[in-house]
Amino acid sequence: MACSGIYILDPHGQILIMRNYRGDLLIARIKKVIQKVIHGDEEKYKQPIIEDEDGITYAYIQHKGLYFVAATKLNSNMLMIIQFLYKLVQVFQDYFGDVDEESIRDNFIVIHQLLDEMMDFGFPQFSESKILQEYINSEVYKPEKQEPKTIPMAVTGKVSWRSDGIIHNKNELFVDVIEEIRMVVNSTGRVINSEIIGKVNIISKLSGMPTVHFGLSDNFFFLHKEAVEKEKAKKKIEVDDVKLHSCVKYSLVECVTEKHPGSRIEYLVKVRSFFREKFTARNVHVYIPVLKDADSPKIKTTKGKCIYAPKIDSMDWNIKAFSGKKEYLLRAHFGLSSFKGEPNDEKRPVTVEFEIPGQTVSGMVIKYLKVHEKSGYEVLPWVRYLTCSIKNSYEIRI
Amino acid sequence: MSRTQAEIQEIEFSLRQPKEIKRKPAIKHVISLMTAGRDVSALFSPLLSCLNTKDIEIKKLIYLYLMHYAKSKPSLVEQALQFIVVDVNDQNPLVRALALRTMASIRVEKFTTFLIEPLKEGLKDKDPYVRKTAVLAVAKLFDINPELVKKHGFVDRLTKLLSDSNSMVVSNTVATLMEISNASPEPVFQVTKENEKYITSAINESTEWGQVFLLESLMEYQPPSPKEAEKIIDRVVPRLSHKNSAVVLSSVRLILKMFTFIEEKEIILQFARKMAPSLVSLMDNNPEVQYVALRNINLFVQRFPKLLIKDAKVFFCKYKDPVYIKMEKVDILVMLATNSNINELLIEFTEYAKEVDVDFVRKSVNAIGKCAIKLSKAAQACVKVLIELVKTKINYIVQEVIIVVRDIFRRYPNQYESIIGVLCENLQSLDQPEAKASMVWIIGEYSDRIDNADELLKAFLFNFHEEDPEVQLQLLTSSVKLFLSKPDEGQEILEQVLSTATNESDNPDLRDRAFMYFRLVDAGFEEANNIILGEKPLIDTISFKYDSKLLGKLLSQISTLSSVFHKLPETFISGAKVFAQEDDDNSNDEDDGGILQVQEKEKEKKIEREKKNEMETQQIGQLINFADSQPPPIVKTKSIPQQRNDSPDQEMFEMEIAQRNDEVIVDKEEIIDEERGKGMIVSAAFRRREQQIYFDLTISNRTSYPFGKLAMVFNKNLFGMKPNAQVPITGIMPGQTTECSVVCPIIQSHKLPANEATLEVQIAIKNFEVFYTQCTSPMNIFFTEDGKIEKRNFLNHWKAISDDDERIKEIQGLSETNPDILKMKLANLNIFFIAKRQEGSIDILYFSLKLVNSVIFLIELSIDQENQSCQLATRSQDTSLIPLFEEFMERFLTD
Repeated sequence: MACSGIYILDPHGQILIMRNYRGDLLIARIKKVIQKVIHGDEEKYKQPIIEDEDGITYAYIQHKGLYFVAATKLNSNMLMIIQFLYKLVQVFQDYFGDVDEESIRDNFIVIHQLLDEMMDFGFPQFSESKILQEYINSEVYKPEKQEPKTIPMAVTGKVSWRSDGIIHNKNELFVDVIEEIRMVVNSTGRVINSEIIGKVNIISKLSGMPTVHFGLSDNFFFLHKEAVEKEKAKKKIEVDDVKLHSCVKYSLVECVTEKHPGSRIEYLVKVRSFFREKFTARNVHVYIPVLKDADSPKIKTTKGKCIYAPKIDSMDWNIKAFSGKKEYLLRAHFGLSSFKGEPNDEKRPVTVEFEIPGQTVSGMVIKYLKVHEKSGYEVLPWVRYLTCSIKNSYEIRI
Repeated sequence: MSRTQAEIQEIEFSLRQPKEIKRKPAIKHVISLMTAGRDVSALFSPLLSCLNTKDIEIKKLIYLYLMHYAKSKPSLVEQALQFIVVDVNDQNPLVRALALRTMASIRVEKFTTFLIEPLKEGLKDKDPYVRKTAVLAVAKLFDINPELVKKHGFVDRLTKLLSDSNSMVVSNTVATLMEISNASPEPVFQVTKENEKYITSAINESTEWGQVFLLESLMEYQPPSPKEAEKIIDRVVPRLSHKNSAVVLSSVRLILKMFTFIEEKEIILQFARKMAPSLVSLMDNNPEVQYVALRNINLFVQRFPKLLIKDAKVFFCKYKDPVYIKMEKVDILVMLATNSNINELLIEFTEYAKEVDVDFVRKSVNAIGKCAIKLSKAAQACVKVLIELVKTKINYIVQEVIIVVRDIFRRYPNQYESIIGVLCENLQSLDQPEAKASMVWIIGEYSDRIDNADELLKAFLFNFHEEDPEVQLQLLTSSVKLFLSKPDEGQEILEQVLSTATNESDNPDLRDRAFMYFRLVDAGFEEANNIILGEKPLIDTISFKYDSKLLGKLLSQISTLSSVFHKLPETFISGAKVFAQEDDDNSNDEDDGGILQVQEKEKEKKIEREKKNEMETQQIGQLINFADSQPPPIVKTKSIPQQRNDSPDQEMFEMEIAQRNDEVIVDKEEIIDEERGKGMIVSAAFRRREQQIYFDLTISNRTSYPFGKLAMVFNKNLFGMKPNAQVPITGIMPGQTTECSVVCPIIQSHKLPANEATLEVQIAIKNFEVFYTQCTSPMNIFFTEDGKIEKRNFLNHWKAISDDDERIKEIQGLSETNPDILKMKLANLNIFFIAKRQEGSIDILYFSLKLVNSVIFLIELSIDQENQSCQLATRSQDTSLIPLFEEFMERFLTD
């Protein structure tokens, strides 16, 4: 069930940190395996779970070029191990911001302590970074703080994510309702797949141990049972499995591209918004793939700016504010440095990024919000709505 | 003095500073050098002198150092221990826990005795943090010295901690107990009804990781009743919406396990429906998580094929998905393909076929072929898409299309031939052996309809010697087929191929097969024609599914490594034990939920275990005797060339054998696979012929050394079959495959008590070591040839048995309803026809049969022609075997 050890390796496969929880791992093996992962073309090394000799299996994730690897000799719970690696990265991020080669090297002492606390004998233990920070920190040695630190109650307590006795002068509650649209549209404009991933993030500046109730709009019948989500503050709530994906009533952006073959290539892109006029999409980015050997771009747009980004072989069309029921055009010409009539040139999709504040695409609203605490203080709730799409999850095939 | 030495000396100087504030940076420096892999063991004693401190961070760092060097410098550890022992009694729980953790992590056996007393104290500590650390320290102690754990009764101490008030202590206790149990020869930890209470109530308060441990431990729980199993599921269902996907999947695993205790299909389906959305939303995670999820969803879909169909879109590939995810998604899409969504899927697959990753493109093309084989109504559309793909003329696409088209022809012979012409236009670009072999097969199979088949084949013959053996063998077969369908055009080619294969090739398989064809053709055109161009069995449509037994075992491994590899743990983990899964054999299909009563199962399991022990001791005694016994008489052996099982040629061989022996060939079941048999593969089947039961074996040697004598014993079994001779094989060379048969008479003393009706026969086979396995004996081998009852006596017999001893079973979906054919088929199995009458559209047939133990079965079979179903009524003095018989008949009638 448990894993044998954790490694953190740099992009070249050099070991930065290694924790051998069970004394049964050899450094030489992991080095060999990671080299194959970095350079190898073997099919098996392209997968995130790799079976090696001597019955050792490695699972790894990558973060900023670093490899976080877990090794196991048992029939372990792989999903738990992978989740633990992600959690590790997250805790490191909470501790020292960017997790990269440098910060790992600089903070190895904290990392060793964290690895001690977060995993024992290969069993994941405690991973709430807020609480961990209360008794493990990277502060420089301060003589006046002679008092030995002890374990916060929360570590073994029932509420592992929150310490007791927090007091705020102003009791505020920030609720963000964020809906992320994921959509695939095919070349004829038909929506192949669309889903909305909704999240309600709550940031609480509330004193004590309050209970927060909130209700969602009634038309969300799927949530009937959970309509009143009872959660203690500071916990992120994810409404699981909103089986509403398929009922997105309107598509947001339509894209038409015409491609003329030849030594010159011309793109014509039309973007149209279908949402109501009173809303405005912010920071709309349309990434339009361009042939790899294109040069001398000539781009005209009816709104916004478009830059040619050769690094990602795309045009990046940025429209700061895109109001509803509008249509904009982009026309671009490229010269091609060499005439390569490869018919099987990779067909990359157009991807779109945007944010629409003040609206959720599914129409979900928070109906009421109640906070119960013994002292009965007054609470200032703030609710925001946002619809967005992140890169690569909103694609239009051409 | 080198630079390193100077550096070490400098550190040592700092470490000996009187003020702690100056020593700390030096200590950190030491650890950083150690982390970087430098040897700083020389600094042990100065570091040790720093250990007398109140600063926890310093302690932690020095302990880290200690654990690192403990193994190589045990003498120094001894000095350090005195400090640690003091810390065990510190008033700060953090220090106490740290000391315990460190002591347990010094993996030097001779210091383990120091650990015992502090550990006992630690388990009783008032602080839960210390208790949970002590619990894990027991796991560490067990890893180094299991004897000590046993001697000091730590398992009992741990079991008591299951009722601890703190959930973190409970979850780690459960994890430790499971680990100890898994590594012990006998399970030391069982989840009783009482424990279950503590475990389930701890789940709610645990951390996400603790929840996973607790859920996993419940996998061992045997709920005393189906109601109890439902209760557990009810308690676990809310976990399905946990944020951590490991918790979600562990819950799924537990729920699936609990299904095996529930009989009502409706309840199972109702809970399964609740799981489906949670599984789907695992797709919103990081790619690595998605990968594990997809591998598991694959198993889930095999178990519940219909539940995820409406979610098929979720598994559409996104452009940026890593290839390993796309590959898994395509597999799942094929499984979810139905006649209603196939058009959408075909558009997707075609889209994928335009991508750049060759493996993924091939997989997508292959998926289209699989859909064609799976959905006969959509096959036309699939073939159309394939034809379009061939027109791209992209090398690897064309080759993959050829490979799948071969399989499509094997499923739908003589249909969709229009594609042959398109394929024939693209022969130049073939470079993969499999594609070539497939093309050659197609040419051979349809040589009568391809005008220039001879020319096409000739083109392949040009490089005969350089071709892969797979292609060579196929060329040989196709040449024969061409000759048989067009003797004039094919003669020259056949002569050429046969002479090349027999005279110039050094591949024994090729030579042997060429000789065989040569004699076959020589023996007569007609015979050869009948055998080679005869009708072949169609390939099955569910080749990408696991059999329900394996699937059940894999489903009980959800979320683990085993479920990712789709392999059972004992096949890749050294020392993994089998007993934990043994009871999952009865996992079932979605539509058939036949589950044993739980109490019965418990009893059975116990008996099973006892039986196994008994069997092992018995066998070892017998196996020793083998060595002295005389070489057994040879019954029948025959060598056949080694073959890939799925090659289309196999059909021909099977037919050849069938023709010659004029008897039913029973499909052999692989009872020892290559991995388990360490290179020995054994397939076996039982069959009845001329009043005797034969046990047919096919044994392949994939090792690099020859096998000598093989010994084999059966455990006691239902009717008391016992081989009368040893395996009549004197030696199998590496790479060779041998067939043989052993007669198995019925020996009364070898019978099992009747209350354990199973047709499984446990078998031990020994070459260099003993392999234990089992083989199912089809029930019909126990039906004797003298089972026919005179028509006039039948009614008397029927009446002599009371109505209470009649069992009735409904069987749906008959594959054959014609009474005459059924009569014949059943007669082959020694089930004898007595009489027939008709009531409307229902034919009522009467049969009788006699078992080897002289028990007579009287059978009334009412066949409903309209609904293709029947009612099977069976009467017998001894009803205990009727369920087995009904099962047998159902399989026979619907197969």
